[in-house]
Amino acid sequence: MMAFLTFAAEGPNGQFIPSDVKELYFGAAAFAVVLFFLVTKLFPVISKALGAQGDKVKAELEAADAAQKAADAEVAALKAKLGNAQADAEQMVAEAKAQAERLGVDLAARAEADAAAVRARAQADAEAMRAQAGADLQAELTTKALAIAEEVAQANLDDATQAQLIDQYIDQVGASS
Amino acid sequence: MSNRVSNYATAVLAVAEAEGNLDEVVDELYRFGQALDSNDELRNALTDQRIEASRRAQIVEDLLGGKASATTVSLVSMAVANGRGGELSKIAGEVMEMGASQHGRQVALVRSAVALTDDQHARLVAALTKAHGSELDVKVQVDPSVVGGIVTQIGDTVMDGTVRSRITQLREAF
Repeated sequence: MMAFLTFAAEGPNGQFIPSDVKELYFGAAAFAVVLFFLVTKLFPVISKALGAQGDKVKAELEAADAAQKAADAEVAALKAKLGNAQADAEQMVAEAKAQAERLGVDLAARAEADAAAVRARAQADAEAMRAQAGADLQAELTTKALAIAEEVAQANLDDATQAQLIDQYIDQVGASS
Repeated sequence: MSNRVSNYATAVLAVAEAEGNLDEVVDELYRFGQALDSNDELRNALTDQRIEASRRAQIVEDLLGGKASATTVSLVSMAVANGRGGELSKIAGEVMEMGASQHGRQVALVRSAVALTDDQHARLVAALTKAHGSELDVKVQVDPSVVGGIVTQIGDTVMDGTVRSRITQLREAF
């Protein structure tokens, strides 16, 4: 167009139509040749180049779209995982709390049972010690009482009593036949 | 009873019978054995192998000289010199059993807190013989540890009428 205008502007008559009509014909022919060249050679190349570029862009767009979808899917999956993880974490925390409470109860019950056992054992030991002390005291008193009784018996066994004991023994042996 | 004690008892019995004073020897032997059992110092001195045999025999002769028959002194000296002082009471008991069995009798060992009168001794022998149903050789030993009364052992049979046994029974009752 610019070439046409330039060409047309170069008319010496100051008009757009050249003064010599031949120039118009040659110009039109040249333009036709150029146009033909452009249509048959350059335009396909450009069109092809533009088409390839468009395909590339389209492919890139599709790839970008796929990537976007994949990213969205990834995000969705991550969100799902995050949600699951959150749920798992909450469940773990809940279980931990429940277990802690249960352990606390168990420990308290066990401590109470242990304390009761210790109290019972201490009470039994105290009873045993008290009984043993009583038995020891009784044995000691018995020993002392019998020792005193023996001393009293020896002191009071005069000849007459000794003779009486011997006579009783003889009579009992004689009567036992 | 070990063979050694039996052999010593047989020898003592033979010697005493040969000397014709069996009862006297048995009685002295038994009383010396009892004295030995109740006196730790004397028993240790007569059974100590570190003391020469002749010295131990001399101690026996010093103790029994003039207080026991010559037969008893010789037999005890021989046993002590041979290191059998600790078994004298067993030997005496075996001699008594052997002597009694030769006459178809058993030995009744009597321990009394005080010495028996002749009347008590005679009545005791009669009562024991009646109760046991056979003739007995009654050997009486004065033992203050029984406190009062009498205890008699015939073989494995014990008839205990001592104050000591009553005190023991009382202690066991508690």
